[in-house]
Amino acid sequence: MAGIGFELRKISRSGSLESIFRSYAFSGVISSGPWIISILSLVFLTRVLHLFLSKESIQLFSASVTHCYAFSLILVGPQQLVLTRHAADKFFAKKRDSIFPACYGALTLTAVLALAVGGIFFGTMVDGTVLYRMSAVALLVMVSCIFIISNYLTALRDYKSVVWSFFFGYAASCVLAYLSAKVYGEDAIILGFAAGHGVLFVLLMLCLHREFGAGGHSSTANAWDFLGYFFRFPMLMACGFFYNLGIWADKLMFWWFAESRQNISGSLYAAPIYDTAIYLSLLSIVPGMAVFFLKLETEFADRYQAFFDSIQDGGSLSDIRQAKQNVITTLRSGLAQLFKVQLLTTALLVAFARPIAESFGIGATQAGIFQVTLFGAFLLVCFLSMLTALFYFDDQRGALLASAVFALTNAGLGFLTIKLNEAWYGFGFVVAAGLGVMIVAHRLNARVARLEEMAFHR
Amino acid sequence: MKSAFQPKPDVCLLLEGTYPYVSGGVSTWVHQIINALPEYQFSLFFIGSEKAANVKFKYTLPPNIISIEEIYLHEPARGGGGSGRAPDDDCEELMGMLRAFLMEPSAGPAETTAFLAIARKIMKVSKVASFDAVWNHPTVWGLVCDIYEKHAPEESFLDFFWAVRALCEPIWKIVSASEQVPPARMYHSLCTGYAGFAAGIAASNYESAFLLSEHGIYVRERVSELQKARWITDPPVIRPDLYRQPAMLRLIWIEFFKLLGRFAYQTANYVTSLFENNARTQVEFGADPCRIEIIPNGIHVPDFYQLRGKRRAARQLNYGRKNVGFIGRVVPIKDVKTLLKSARLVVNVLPDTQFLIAGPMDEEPAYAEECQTLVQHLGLQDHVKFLGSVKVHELLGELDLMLLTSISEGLPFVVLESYAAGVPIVSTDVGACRELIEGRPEEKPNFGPGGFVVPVGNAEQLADGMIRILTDPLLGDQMGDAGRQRVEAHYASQTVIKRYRQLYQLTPKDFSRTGLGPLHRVKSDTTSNVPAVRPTTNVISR
Repeated sequence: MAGIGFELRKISRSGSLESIFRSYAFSGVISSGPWIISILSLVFLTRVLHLFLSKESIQLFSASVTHCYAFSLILVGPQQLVLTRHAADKFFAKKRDSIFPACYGALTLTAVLALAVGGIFFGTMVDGTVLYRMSAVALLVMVSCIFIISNYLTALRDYKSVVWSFFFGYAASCVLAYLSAKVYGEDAIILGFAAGHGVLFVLLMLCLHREFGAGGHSSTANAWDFLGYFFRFPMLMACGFFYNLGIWADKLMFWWFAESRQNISGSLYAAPIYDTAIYLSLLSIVPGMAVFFLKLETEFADRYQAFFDSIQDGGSLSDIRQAKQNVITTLRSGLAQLFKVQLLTTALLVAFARPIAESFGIGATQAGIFQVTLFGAFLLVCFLSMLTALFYFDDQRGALLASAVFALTNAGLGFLTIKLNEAWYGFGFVVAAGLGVMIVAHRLNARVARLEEMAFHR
Repeated sequence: MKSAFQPKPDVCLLLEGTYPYVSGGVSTWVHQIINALPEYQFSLFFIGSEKAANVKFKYTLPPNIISIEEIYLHEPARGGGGSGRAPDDDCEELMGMLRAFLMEPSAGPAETTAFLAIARKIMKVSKVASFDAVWNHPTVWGLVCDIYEKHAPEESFLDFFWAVRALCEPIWKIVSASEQVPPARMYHSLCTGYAGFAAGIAASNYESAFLLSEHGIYVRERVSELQKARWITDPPVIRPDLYRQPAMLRLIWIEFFKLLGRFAYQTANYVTSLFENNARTQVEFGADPCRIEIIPNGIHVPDFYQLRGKRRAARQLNYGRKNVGFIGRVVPIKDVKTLLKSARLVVNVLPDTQFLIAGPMDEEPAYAEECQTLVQHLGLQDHVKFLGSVKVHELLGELDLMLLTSISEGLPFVVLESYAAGVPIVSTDVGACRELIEGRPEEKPNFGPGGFVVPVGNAEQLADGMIRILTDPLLGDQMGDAGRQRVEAHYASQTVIKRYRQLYQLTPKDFSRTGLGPLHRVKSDTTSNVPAVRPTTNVISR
């Protein structure tokens, strides 16, 4: 998407080391998405709340939040890519007016779905006070809506406001959770947390409205015309679903089937032996993602556009192939940078896994699992970045295949490793991500080899 | 051979953008021939570009048309072949054939055989897969790139790619639709191009005869169109010798239509042409001279009988005063300005001469106005009359002589009609005019000249010819009479219809056995038996 890429390019062209660092930070925030920030704030919150709340209520809080995030990602997943496609098409067709109404439509749809899922899960399958249940449902709705909005954020030019909104929103979540816990007791933590997310939601809506809503709503723009895209791009829908399911599949397996799991409340489970390790290692992918995303949205997007321009402007076949070579070079160097940065990060983290694990108060077993999942996270970031490139090249079939294999393997092997013993924990995730990398790399190679041919196919 | 109970048509006419949806010379001709031959059953296979909404037949279809099939070449593909995956080995084989066909072109019959083999392969593949499926097969891309590198490595690849696709898709559509073409005894195409291609394929599928009749020369028309086409931009390179290299796309399209032309001429069992110059052009574009026959357009001569008497009376009335006629639109291609210059020369010698110019003035108003100014400058106000559109019959009765100054013509009806009324001609040497005036070499005995033929744009010689006829009424009558005999012998509609009635009966074997060959033999056959029976319709196309 054009907007953010353009702004990031301006920063990286200004050249100073500090500005490059800043643009990496921004792209990290945007690409790694709210779920990483949420892990951070959750870790921070639990440590603070520890001072005056019981262990049980902290566990209930963190399990509820984790479930909300997992459910909302799986719920929003099928819509994400389809909405992105819809927005990109409208953007290309110079119908910016109809992007914002579609966002409203998607928000409505998502809110209803989240309300239904949350109502069923927290209403009937979890024990707790009415206040707690209603707050949990509200959090699920808020988080889902925030995911829908973040889908549109990369199209915004005013990325600074976006970053500030996230910062302020999560800060508010932490403060409100803390205050409501202090004032109204442990049942109210999640209400405060949800209220903070509400603040974030409103702020993001304001950002979005400022750019897309500027021209007013044209009467022709239909808030529901994006629904047709679900039928036009069923593969994108399936792909988004499997991808998000894949991210959570191993955790769901541990929550539901591991013997070491802890029953928090009703159907709400946690698997502390695995959870902390995997969350921490997911945090480790931020540097790699940031590096690759920056390259993708700036240089790669430029070169890819130049490739299409060379076709449109009547270039000869050798011109077109030269432009294609530039695309490949950029992609290759982007992936190489990702490997370097991520390899260094992962290696350092693996080396210092024990002290890090200790500082988070988890035991030696978890430190071992942490080392394994760190390696899995390394593979995951490779998988993710190449999958994104595959979307650029519009290989929906390949993306679907890779993400479906990733999701099913992660679930299947996750289940299998649970039935074995602790020494195997995390290896299911590693193998699933590895398989995903292999498939996606294969598809990417095949796609790139026929890049100019594909550009001519309808 | 022919049975009313057989559902199978005798003749399938292949029509590219003409009858029954578009009116014009060819369509009128087709309509009249179908009406004139009620003993044959016809099928129509119409090939159009895009199906326009609410198009209606421009003619009332005669009852002996038993079916109409239509295909549209530039419609987005709907159906048109199977829907499955493109089979790899078939695609590879097809591309191998195409590669050989395009990279090492063969000539003559070998080319036709290779092209037919490719068509058969396409027919097979199109049963399984759609055009898009095959077009997206990697082997196609490889071939397109190789051809591009060989022939047009500097051109815009985008334009090249879509041009090649635009060449291939109609071919695919026609071949995959060839099962829709009804099995007929004879396929009669009215042009080369796509219709000629379809006819060649159908005739080879059903082992039927293929008759190709051309009024104009399709290939020549496409070539001159493409040379002027604005949608292709020529490269802006100006070479030291100021030769502007035409865009490769132009050449590709031209070669494509030439190829289709060669294919039709080669696969046709028999080719007919309106006049010799056209037949010569057909040979140039690949037709076999032994398989061409000249069958001109005909007119219904008896309609003009009474004009002859009327004309005699009129000439006695205005004795000494001479009328020269010109029938045609006042446009540059008719070269009215040269006519006016020659009129000045005639009037210098014969001040009592009047020039009657009959034809619409509104087609190119600027040119018409220039002509009227020229009349003023030449001081011909009293000698030249612009009559506007007038009925031919009314004018012919008044004339001593008919003038034709065009710089390009086919087989002009105005000459046939003048002859039928006994009016001599002075004409420029264009289209069929020389053979109309001097008679074709095979005309035995020769009826003598029907007037004078002079070079294009030569006012002096035009005036010279006119003066000779106008000052010597006996010569004029002689020439008019020769013309009348020539029209009755060769250009009567009955003659034309009779010939097509014969041709429609022939099988491919008949064509190859008798060879039918040297034109004159065929010609003398037909001219000796002018049927007494009056045909049902008048085969004039105007």
